[in-house]
Amino acid sequence: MRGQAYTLEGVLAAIVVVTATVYGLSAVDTGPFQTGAEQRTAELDARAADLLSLAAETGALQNATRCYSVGAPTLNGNQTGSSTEFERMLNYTFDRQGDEYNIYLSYWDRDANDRTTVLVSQAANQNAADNPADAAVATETVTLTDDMPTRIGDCSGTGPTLSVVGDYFAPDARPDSIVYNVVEVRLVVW
Amino acid sequence: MVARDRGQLLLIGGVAIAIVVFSTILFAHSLAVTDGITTTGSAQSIERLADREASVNRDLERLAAETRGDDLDGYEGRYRHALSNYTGTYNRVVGSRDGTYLNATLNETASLGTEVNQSGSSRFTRPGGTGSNVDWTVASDVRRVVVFNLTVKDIPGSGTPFTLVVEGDGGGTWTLEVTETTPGAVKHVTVNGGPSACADTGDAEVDVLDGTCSIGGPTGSTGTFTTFTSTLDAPYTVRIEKGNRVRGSYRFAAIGDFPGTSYDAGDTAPYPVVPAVDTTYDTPSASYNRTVFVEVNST
Repeated sequence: MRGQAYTLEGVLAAIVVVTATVYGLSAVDTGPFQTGAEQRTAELDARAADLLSLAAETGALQNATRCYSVGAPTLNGNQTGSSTEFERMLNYTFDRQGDEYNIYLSYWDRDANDRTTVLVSQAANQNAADNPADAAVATETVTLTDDMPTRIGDCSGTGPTLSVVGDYFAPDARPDSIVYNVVEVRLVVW
Repeated sequence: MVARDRGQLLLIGGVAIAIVVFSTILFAHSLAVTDGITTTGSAQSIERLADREASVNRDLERLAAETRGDDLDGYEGRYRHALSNYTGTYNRVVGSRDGTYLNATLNETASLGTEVNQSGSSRFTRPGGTGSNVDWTVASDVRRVVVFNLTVKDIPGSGTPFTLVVEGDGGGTWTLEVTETTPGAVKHVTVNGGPSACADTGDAEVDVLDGTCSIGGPTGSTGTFTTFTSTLDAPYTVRIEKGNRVRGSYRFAAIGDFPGTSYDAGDTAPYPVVPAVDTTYDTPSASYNRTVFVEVNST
């Protein structure tokens, strides 16, 4: 009988410990251990992905893509009165927080038969800062069609369609189709 | 421990078991509402994949709208060709960097929509079925219409008007009449008993969805009228009255029921009012297979 009593006492003690653990776990936010730098990268990662996702959904990213090279030589938010909605979003989300970033556009170059990438956040590659190893990276795609008009005049006006404009950065990847090209926008933030 | 303590021990044991059961239930409930346990890495992969899926769906909608345009003939072929070029370019640009693979093909069988195209008959008659050959139902429970064009060449006989009747969800009706007193005389197109939207001699071309009509070609009479989509709520029932009076043709594509009393097998054909696209998206970390129903809006 004494052994039975000890068993019960042990069970009760275990219940108390398990219950305390369950309540304790529900009171704190558990997760894998992260250093400060990792936490900052994760936070930048989420902000960058959300910005691109929102810009794609509202059409701001497509407008900016159609503007680059014909209406604006660069796409970034580090200037007062940025001309496109996408650049304003960059300004609010990163420039004002002191974050740095590079933006790259990749497209299919039919003549070279290869994927080509251009840096669009700076006028020249040598002006761009190197991406640190722990930078956050987010990507989004923009599909362009032949009949989409370009954006000209500092991106505020509508220009000729992509299929007829001559100095657009990306060539027509599919001349026999309404698909003009698929552009991947890559945002690297640190 | 003496025998009289046995009852106390059993009581404590019962309470302990009750606590264990009760705690287990509460704990299990808290697990159920979280709907599973996952690592933060896989959660991010799933979230990114959801963004990709939304992006691909937007592209499918845009391509569907641009390939449809105003030209309905050969739409399926054009859309299939656009999808092929889109996925090919996408895979070259995105897949060559991170191993992503996208495939999107039009699934005509799963697409929603039916078309009636009476173009080869000199008589504007009920295509088939067993119902009245004078008045018949074109379609009922119509939730969306993308094509509705009429061409009335002439109305031989007693001058009885040809009437198109659309009944809305609330029971309200919209009517379009084409009249011609004698063969070769002036035709009139009127809606809901109002004034003539068009009046002239010659063939009457009516775009029921756009609310436009023209009679007698480019130099003839043109006009506009109130459409049934702007005055009635779906689902609609579309009927033709005194159809046997008319020589001409019509084309109607919609999502709805096309009754057997008006059609025989082969009188209707599938038309992708809402195209279904079989989509496969594979990344090294996550993938999805889905049949996407593409809502086609005008660009």
